[in-house]
Amino acid sequence: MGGKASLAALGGVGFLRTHYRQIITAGITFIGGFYFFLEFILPAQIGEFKFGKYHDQISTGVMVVGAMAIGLGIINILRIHGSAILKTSRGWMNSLALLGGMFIMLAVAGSDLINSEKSVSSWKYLANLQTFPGKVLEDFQTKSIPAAERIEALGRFVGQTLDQIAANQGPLRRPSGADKAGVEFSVLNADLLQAGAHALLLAQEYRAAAPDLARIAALSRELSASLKSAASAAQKVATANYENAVVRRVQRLLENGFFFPLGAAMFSLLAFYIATAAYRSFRVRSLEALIMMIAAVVVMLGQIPHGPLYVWDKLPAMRLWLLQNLSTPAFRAVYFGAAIAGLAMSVRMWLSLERSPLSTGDDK
Amino acid sequence: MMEHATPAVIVLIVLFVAPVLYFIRQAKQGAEIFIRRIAGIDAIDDAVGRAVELGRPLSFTTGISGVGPVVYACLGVLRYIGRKAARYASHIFVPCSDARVMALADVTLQSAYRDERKFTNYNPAALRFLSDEQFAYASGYQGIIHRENVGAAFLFGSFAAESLILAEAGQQIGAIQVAATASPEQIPFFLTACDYTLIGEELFAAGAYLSRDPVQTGSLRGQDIAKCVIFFLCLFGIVVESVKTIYPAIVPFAISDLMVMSWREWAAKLHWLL
Repeated sequence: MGGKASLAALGGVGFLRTHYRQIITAGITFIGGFYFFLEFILPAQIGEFKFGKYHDQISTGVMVVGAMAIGLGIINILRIHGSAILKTSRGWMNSLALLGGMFIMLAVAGSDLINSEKSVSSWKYLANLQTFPGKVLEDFQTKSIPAAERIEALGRFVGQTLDQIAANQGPLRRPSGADKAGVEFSVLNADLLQAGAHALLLAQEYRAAAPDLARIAALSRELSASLKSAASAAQKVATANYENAVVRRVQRLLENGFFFPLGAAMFSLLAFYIATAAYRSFRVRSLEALIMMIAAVVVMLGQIPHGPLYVWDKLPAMRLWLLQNLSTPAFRAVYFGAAIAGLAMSVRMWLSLERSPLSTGDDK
Repeated sequence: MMEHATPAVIVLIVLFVAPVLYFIRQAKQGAEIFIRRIAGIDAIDDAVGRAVELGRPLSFTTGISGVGPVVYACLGVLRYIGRKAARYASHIFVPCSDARVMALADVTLQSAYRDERKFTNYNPAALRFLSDEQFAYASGYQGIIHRENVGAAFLFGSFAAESLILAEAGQQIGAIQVAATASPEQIPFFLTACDYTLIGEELFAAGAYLSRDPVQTGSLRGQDIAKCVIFFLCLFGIVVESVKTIYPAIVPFAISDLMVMSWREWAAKLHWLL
C-alpha cells in the first residue's frame, strides 16, 4: 500500500504546474515530518493507538522511491558510457569494460536471485503444509467441512513433488556427489512416500461411514510428522543444490574473486596516501604546525607499548591526556555544532521555510 | 537508542528550535544579521576563477551522503557553483554515489543554468553516477579527476574512509580543493590534502553565506543562540556535578537520570516536591 501511494503521489505531482507542484511537495513534506515528529515526542502507545504500526508501509514507500532512483543511476551509466563507446571517445574501452561488467553482474545476480527464490519456495510449501492435517481435522469436527477431498489434494501435491524428484528436475533434484545432501535426498524420498501413504489412509478414514476420530487424529499426527521431516530434508537438499549451481559459483567468483579484492586494493591505497599526507602536515612552517607536530609525536610515541622507541614511561599518560582533554572536547564541539545545524536545517526543510535550491528563479 | 522523547529531551528541542524560528522571523522582517567571514567559502570564487582561467573543468561531489539535511545544505553550494560555471561557460562534473542525490543534483544544476539564462549550455553528462559501493565510487572519482584534469574540486558532504583517496586525487593534479564535512573523523585528512576546509557546521553555514537568504541567515543566528544554550547547560552540569562530589546531600539526583525520566516519573517527583 505504501509503495502504491508513493507511485501515485509521484505520478500525480509530475503532471502539475511548477507552482502547484511546490505546494503539494511542501504539504507532503510537512505531513511526513509531522508524523515522525509526533512519533518521537509522544509515548509508544496512547490507549489503543500505536504509532509504529504505519512504519512498514512508510518504509515500503521510501524503498519504492529509492528503487526508482537506482534505475536513474543505471540509465545515467548507460547514457554516459554508451555514448563514449558509440563515439569511440577517449577511454571508450574502459566504458566497454564497465558496461560489460555491469551486465554480467546484473545477469548473474538476477539468475542467482531467481534460483534462491525457487530454492526457498520448494521447501517452504512442505513446511507450511505440516499444520494442514490438524487444521482439516479441526474443521471436520467444528464446522463439518468435508475433509477427504482436502487430504486427497494434499496427497496429490505430495505425489507431484515425488514426480518432480523422480524426473531429477528443479531445486529438489538429486544433489551431485554422495555427501550429506545425498543422504538427505534419500530421507526426503522416504518421508514423502510415507506422507503419501498416510494421506491415502487418512482420506479413506474420512470417507468411512462412521469415521474413527481417534484413528484420524493419530494418522493426522503421523502425516504432519512426515511432512515436517520431509520439509527439513527438502531444505537441506534445496540449499545444497542452490549452493552447487553454476550460477551461484559464478556469483561467488565475481564477488570474492573480483569485487572484494578490487575494493580492498582501493582501501590499501590509503596506507600510502596517509604517509604523504602526514609528511605534508608535519612540515613546520608556523607555530601552530610546530605545536601540532609535537602533539602528534607524543601521541605516536605514547602509543608504543615497548621496544627501542619506548623512550619515556610518562609518554602513554601524556598521550591519554592529550586525547581525552584536548582532542575529544574539540571533536564534541564539532559534533554539537553540526548536530544543531542539522536540526535547524531539518526544521527549515520540514516547514519548507527557505527557497529550495531545486527551484528556479533569480534570487541574486 | 532513544526511540521516544523524554520530557527533558522535548524541553531541549524547544530550547534549540525556538531561537532558530525567532531569528528567522526577525531576519524576514529586515533585521541585519552579521555573518563572520569564512575563508573556505570565500575561496570558492577564487577556485572557480582559477579553474576558468586555466581552462580546466570543475568538480563537485557530495561524497557518500544519502538524501538528508547534509545533502540539502550541499545543494545550495552546488547551485552557487553551477551558476558560476554557467556564467563563465566552464565544464562541471558532479560524481555521485547515490542515485537519489544525483537526481537532486541534476535538478539543482538545471536550475542554476536556467537562472543564468544559459540552459542550452547545460550538459546532462555533467552528472556521473559512479557506484553506491564506497571504494568503487572512490576509484571512479579518482579516474574522473585525473582524466578530465580538473582545475577546482569541491568536496562537500559526508565522507568516510575514502575521503583521503578523493582529496589526494585532486592534490596529485594540482587542483585547488575546498572541502566541507560534518564528519569530524575525516577533517584531519581534508586539512592535510585540501587548500581550504570547512569544519562541521560551516558546511551548513555555506548556503547562508553565499545566498544571504534571510531565512538561512536568521537560522544561523538562531543556531548560535542554541550553541550558547549548550554552553550554559555544560556549565550547569559541571557546577552541579562538582557540588555533588563535595556535598552529596545537597544534590540528590544525577543529571543523566533527569534526561531519561519518563512523564510518569516526572509527575511522581513533582508530586513529591509539592
